[in-house]
Amino acid sequence: MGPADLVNATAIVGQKGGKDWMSCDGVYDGGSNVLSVAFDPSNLEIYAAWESGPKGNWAPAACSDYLHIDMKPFLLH
Amino acid sequence: MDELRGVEAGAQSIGVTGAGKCMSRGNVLANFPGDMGDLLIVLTDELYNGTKATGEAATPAGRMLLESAARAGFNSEAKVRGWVAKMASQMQGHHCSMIGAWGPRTEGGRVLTGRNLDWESRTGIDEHKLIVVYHPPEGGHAHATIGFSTVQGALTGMSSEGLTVHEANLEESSETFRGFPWLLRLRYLMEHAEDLASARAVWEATNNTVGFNHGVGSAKDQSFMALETEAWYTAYFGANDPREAKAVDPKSGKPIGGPMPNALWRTNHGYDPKIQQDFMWSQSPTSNTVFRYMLIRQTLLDYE
Repeated sequence: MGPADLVNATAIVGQKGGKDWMSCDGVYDGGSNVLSVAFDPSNLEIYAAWESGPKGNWAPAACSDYLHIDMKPFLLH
Repeated sequence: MDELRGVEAGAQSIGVTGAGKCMSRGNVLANFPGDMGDLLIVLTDELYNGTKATGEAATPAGRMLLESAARAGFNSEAKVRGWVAKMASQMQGHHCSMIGAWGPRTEGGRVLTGRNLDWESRTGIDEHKLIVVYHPPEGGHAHATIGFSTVQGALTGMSSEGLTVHEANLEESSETFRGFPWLLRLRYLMEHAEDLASARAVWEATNNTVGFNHGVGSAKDQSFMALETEAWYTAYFGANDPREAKAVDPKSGKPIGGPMPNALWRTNHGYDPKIQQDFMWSQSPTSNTVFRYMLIRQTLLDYE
């Protein structure tokens, strides 16, 4: 597994609200995944996603874009 | 407290009032049990323990709560219970998850970790996403928290030492407000620990509040540790733990564990015998939490 695979494994189990845990099918009633983060601590990198959209157009974090951020410039300076 | 006062002062300087109070409330809210009905146990303990003999709450926090409740018209235990029951009917259950994988499972054998926060959605807080980087002025390790503004502590985060922190709800009957609030405690852990051994030592120096599963990932150890907690008790787990392997649902007797080498994960139940005994939700193999535990397990197997 690489970091992208760990992102995938994390995203799968986020409570998206649909019946298919593997799918971001747009059916998110009852979804509660508001934050989803994967870490590569050896390289001080993170992959972070948040819930998005207003009530009528909501998407869980696991179905939103994950931001890849190198935290070294912030943590090691 | 200095941080709260600083946030309050900084916000006031740009015309925003109450920011410190809002952040303080966030710390309290995060220590609520994941099921609002279970909040009854914590609130009534805080409000009414010791009051039978003296007529007063046992703690300053309890007295403040009683005064606030009385001002709002909730001047009896029955009324407080009714209010919490109404809240419980309006709120979602809270379910999180965490995962760590390393060794032969990962590129270069390095530990990779993850965390989901499954909580109240659609509240509008997504407009206030925030990553905060702290450089403690009096020493300690720099660390980052990933979450939202108004959250003072760590929903999750990573330190300059490559230590990551994680959380998932765990409904235990042994609960108290009289401990180190976990949001701040996870920050304290990142600030003062370098590896899993020091993380455990830092953790054991203070008390738990309500039940939670926590996780700590460590680049220095290339490993991940799970902590199953309730008030005054923590059970520590590494990968492939025999307690997890032999755990069963107390009601049905069916197995609910499936630990593996070089990986560790948790949803919203535990595997330590005492933690299992005090658990307030279902541990059935078909329960939401056990289902998600097995979902993570299968995902890890799929990557083998």
